[in-house]
Order: sequence, then structure tokens, then C-alpha cells
Amino acid sequence: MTATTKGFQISMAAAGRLLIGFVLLYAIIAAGFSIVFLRKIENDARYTQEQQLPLVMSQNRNAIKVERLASLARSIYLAKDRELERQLQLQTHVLAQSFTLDENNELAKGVLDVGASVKKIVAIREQVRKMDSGASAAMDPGIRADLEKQALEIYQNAMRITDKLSQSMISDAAVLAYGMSGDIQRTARMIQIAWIIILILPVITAVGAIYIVARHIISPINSAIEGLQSIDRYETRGFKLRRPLFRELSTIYEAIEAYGRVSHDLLRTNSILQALSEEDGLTTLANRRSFEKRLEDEFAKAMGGETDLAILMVDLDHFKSINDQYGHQMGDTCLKMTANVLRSVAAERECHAARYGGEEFSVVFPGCSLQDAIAEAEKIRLSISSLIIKTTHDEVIRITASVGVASVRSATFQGSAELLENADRALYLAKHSGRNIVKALPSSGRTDLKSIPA
Amino acid sequence: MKTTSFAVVTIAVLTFACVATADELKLKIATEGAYPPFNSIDASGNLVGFDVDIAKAVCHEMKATCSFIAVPWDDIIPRLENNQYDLIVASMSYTDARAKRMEFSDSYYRSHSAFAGDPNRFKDISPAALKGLRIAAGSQTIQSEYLQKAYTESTIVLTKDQPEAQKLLQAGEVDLVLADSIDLLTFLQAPESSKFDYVGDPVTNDFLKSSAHITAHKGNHALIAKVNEAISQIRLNGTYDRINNTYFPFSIY
Repeated sequence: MTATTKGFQISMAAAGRLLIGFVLLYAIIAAGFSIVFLRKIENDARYTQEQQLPLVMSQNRNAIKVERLASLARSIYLAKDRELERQLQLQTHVLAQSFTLDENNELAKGVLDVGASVKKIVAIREQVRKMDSGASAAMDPGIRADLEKQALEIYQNAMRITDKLSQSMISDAAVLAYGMSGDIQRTARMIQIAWIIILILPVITAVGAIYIVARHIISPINSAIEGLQSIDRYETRGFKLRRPLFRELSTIYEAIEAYGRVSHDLLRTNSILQALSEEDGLTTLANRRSFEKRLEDEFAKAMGGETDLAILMVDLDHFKSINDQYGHQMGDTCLKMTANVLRSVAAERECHAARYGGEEFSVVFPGCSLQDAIAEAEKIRLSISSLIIKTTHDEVIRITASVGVASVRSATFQGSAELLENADRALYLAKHSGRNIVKALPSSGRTDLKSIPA
Repeated sequence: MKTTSFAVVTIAVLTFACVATADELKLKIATEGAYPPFNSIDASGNLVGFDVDIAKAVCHEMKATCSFIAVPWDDIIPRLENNQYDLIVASMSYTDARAKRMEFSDSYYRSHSAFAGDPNRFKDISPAALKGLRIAAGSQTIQSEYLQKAYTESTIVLTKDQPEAQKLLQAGEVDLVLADSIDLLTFLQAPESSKFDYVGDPVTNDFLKSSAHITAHKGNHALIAKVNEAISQIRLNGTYDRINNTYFPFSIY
């Protein structure tokens, strides 16, 4: 019946605070994670913007410049005009020099090689022109062809260098771009995973919270309500409550259980009080009040169902003298013995015996005819007169009783009181007929004294 | 009476609002005007050149109204310090000494210095080989500074600007000129310079690598930040390349 208090228990307020604390902590952690990730993205973006992008742009720019250098070299090789060669060579010089501004030694070296090659080509062309202008006749076609061959080889070599450089520029840029996109992809995946975790956890927590509310709040409340209902139904068996997780609920449980105990006790006290109010203290027979109520009920039943009903009024003879002679205690003993006689009758057939007052008793026989009632009355009278009551001084007291009998069929009665009055008059008749006798009034209802044959 | 005063107030407020919105950035920009093809004065007296176009593009990006002024090179930094203009856009190279006097933007082009002279007379350009020779350079330039430091055995002739140095070379008054290679390209490509050429192998001396910057008053970080933003914008939107291509056959960034 009592909720056990041992074991783990937590107050609902503390649980609520714990939950709020957890949510706050979680929000802070999630925000922290987000900030860390966003900062990482920001840093990556800044790194890309400030480092990688300029690198890609400079690779791209250098690739274009290398192409430009190659086209200048090609123009010089094809120019065969002194002034044009000079203009182009000046441009080549500046362009080649500009590569030394970037910290890329391989590139600078290649470009300067091309610049040197261009110079050589111009020098060869100048040599040829001098030979042409100096002594055209003396110009050996062999030497000229040889010089042209040299120029071609230098030109081809320069082209190979520029091709190689621009290839490596472009593939370097591609590798950088690939690396950049790879970094972005990795960060995106990390963020994706982190956010899945961040979002899944609250879902799990929510499911857990719903489970806890259902199991540890709603179900205990339901069993508490059931407990209250069982108290309402006056179920005497105590209800068993499972120990709740939350302290507040166990307080409610204890209150309900205490209420159950109190109302059970009250119920019992009530039944005892009711019994006491309908019982005669001395003889434990029904008292006059409950007899009259019973009579009224049985009278109504007999009137309605047209069944018979008889009552007896039993009065001990000369009881006052017994009291005077042997004391009230002996008087009480006599009364108790008489009550026992009446009780034994009640054990044999349906009837209700009561102490009507003083030394007067009454018995209701539902569905009993006047004749039968007279027979029962005679048995009672005999039983009482055969009682042997011993005093403390071993003296024997003998008592007798006069009995008045009345039946609803012997006259027309307006109420149970009239029937009772009729029985009373029969008793009066018995007293006047010498006591220790059973009497009933004649069916006319008149008070004429008429002896009923035994 | 009441209506009149209300109208007056309304007009005043509207005028003030208009003035407030019209309060756009107004900048005065100095350049040298004697440094072709970067900045020079054309036949009709207008400032033209790569620097001027870049400055105009930067002004356009900053939504600023800019006016230009030509200032001799020797005066260009002192007059900035006297608040006569807001920015210098004149192929200003970065040096630590200058950085103490002005705020530098990000670079808007990079260049390299080179000797120019008669290629038949000079092959070697080491200080020892050029001992006793006369070398010209613009005064208060990184080149003149370098010459005074490294070529102590040579006579260094300082000129007020580049054209003057080039004239001295043509007149035979100096043997060599040390100047920016892009600047020299324009000079060398002219028909009257046909007997001159770059002298020596391309120099990979770190001191002679230079980057050109826009400069502002010392401490004017806000303006420099705007300028930097504008430079990266014109780099990204193609304006820079368009200007570059009108002056040079390849990217000088």
C-alpha cells in the first residue's frame, strides 16, 4: 500500500532543470561546432582567395606570357627584316625579364634560355645580312645554308622549351584547381556529417523524453487515478502503486495511499457505528429503533405482497422483583438468557428478535400465520420457563414470560403501529390472564378477552 | 504663414538631403607626366598613359570624382605631405624609406630595371667594368639610389626625369642609362634610338625588381583599403587587361 522510497528517484523540477541545461549545453556545443566549421570554411575561402586563386591566376598569366614569348620568337625567326627583328627582340627582352619577378626559377631559366636563343637567331641573321651586303658574290651557299640550319635548330629548341613551359603551367593550374575543389568537397562532407549528427541527437532525445513522460509521468498518474477510483468503489483490498521515478509523484502517491487508508478505516468505523446504533448493548439483539424500522418494512412488504406477518411481544413476569431480590446484575443475566432463547428461535426460522425495552422483547415473523406464531410463542414461553439461572450464591432463579401475538390477517391495520398496539393489547390480556401464557386478540379486533386454545 | 514656414523647412530638409547624397568622394591625384608610356602630357596638354588610365579606372570603381595634376618627380612626395592632393599614381616603386612617409596600396604592376646603351661598346655591366663611366638615372628613383650604392666608381648623373636621361644618352653625354625596362622599351623602340639596346643579360638583382603602387597620406588606411578593393575589382572585371593591352604587348601585372 505504501510507495517504497528506496532506490533512484529524482524530482520533476530537477529533471526539468537538467533537461533545460542539457538543451542549452547542446545548443552551445552545436553553435560551437558550427562556428568552428564556418570559420574553417571562411579560412579555406580566404586561403583560396588570397593564396590559391592568385597562384592560379599567375599560372594562367604566365602561360599566356609564355605563349606570347613563343609567338615573338616565331615572328623573329620569320621576320628577316633588321628593324622588325630589333623591335621584337626588345619586346622579348622585357617579356623574358618580367618572368624573373615571379619566384619560379624553372620558369625564369627556361624563359631566359628562349631570350638567349632569340638573341642568337638575330645575331645569325645579322651575320647573313652582313655577308649579303659585304660581298654578295663571295657568299658561299654552303655557309649560308649552315647558318640557316643553325638558326632553325635554335628556333626549334626555343619552341620546345616554350611548349614544355606552357604545358607545365597549364597542368600546374589544373592541379591547383583540382586541389581547391577537393578541399571544398572535403569540408562540405565534414559539415554534412556534423549536421546529420547535430540533427539526429535532438530526435533521439525527443523520443527518449516522450518515452520518459509516458512511462514515468502519464502511467503513474493513471495508476493513481485507478487507485482513487478503487477507493471510490469502497474496495477494501488495498491498491498497489509502483514506485514512481519522480519525487513529486511519489508525494501524490503517498497522499492517495493515506487517503485510501483513512477512507478504509472510516468505512469500518461506519459499519461498526451502524451496527452499534441498531443493537441493544446488553443482549446484542436488535434494539427497539431497528425493530420498529424492520417491522415497518415487513409490514409494507406484507401489505403489498398480501403475505402474512405475525409479531410477538414477550414480557418477563415479575421482573422488577427479580431485580429487587437478586440485584440488577442478575436481572441483566435473565435478560441475556431470554435473548439467547429468542436467538435460538431465529436460528430455526426466519424471524427478527429485538429487545423492545426494559424486560420486553419483540419478534417479527414474516410470512407467518397467526396459528404458527402462536405455536412459536408457546415454544418460547416454554423455553423461558424452563430456564435455570444460577446466582453467585448457587440459588436458582426461575422466570416466566407472557406473550402477546398479533397477525396482519387478524384485523385491518392502517400501519405497523396499529399491529404493534394489537400485540401489546394481547400481551396485556396475557398479563391479566395470570401471566406465563400466550394470548392473541380475537380476529374482530375487539378487546374482549378470549382464550385461545393451546 | 504656417504653410510657408512648413514649405521652407521642407525645402531646406530636401536640399540638405540632396547635398548629403551628392557628397561623393572627390579626389585629387598627382602624377609625374614625364614617364611615358606610364604617364606623360600629350600634344593637347592632357595627362595620358597607363598610370592615368589605371587611376581613372580605380576612381570609377570607387565612384569617386577625380582630378589630375602633373607634379615634377622631386616634388611629388613633399607636396603629398603638404596635402596638395590625395593620391599619387605615378609608377611609385615601394621602398622602405618611402613607406615611412606614405601609405602604399597593393602593387598594380611589376617591373624590372635595365641598362640601356650602345650594345657594341658594353657587354659587361658589373660595377668594375663600368668604372669611370657616366651613368644617368632619374633623381630620387630606385635606380639612382642603387647606382649611388653599387656603382661608386662611376659618375652618376641625376636627371629630373626619364626623358632628360634619355636625351643625355642620345647626345652622348652619358654612356649608359639605368631605368625601368618597360619605360626604356618605348625609348628604344623609337627610330632615333636605333643604335641603343638593352645592355647586359637580364639582371636578376632583387633590388632592381620593382613593383608600382598607388600612395596616399601616411595613415590614410581607409582610402588605401578602398584603392586596394578597386584594384582587385579592375583586375577581375577585365578593365586592367584592357588598359594593359593598349600600352603593352604582354601583361605587366
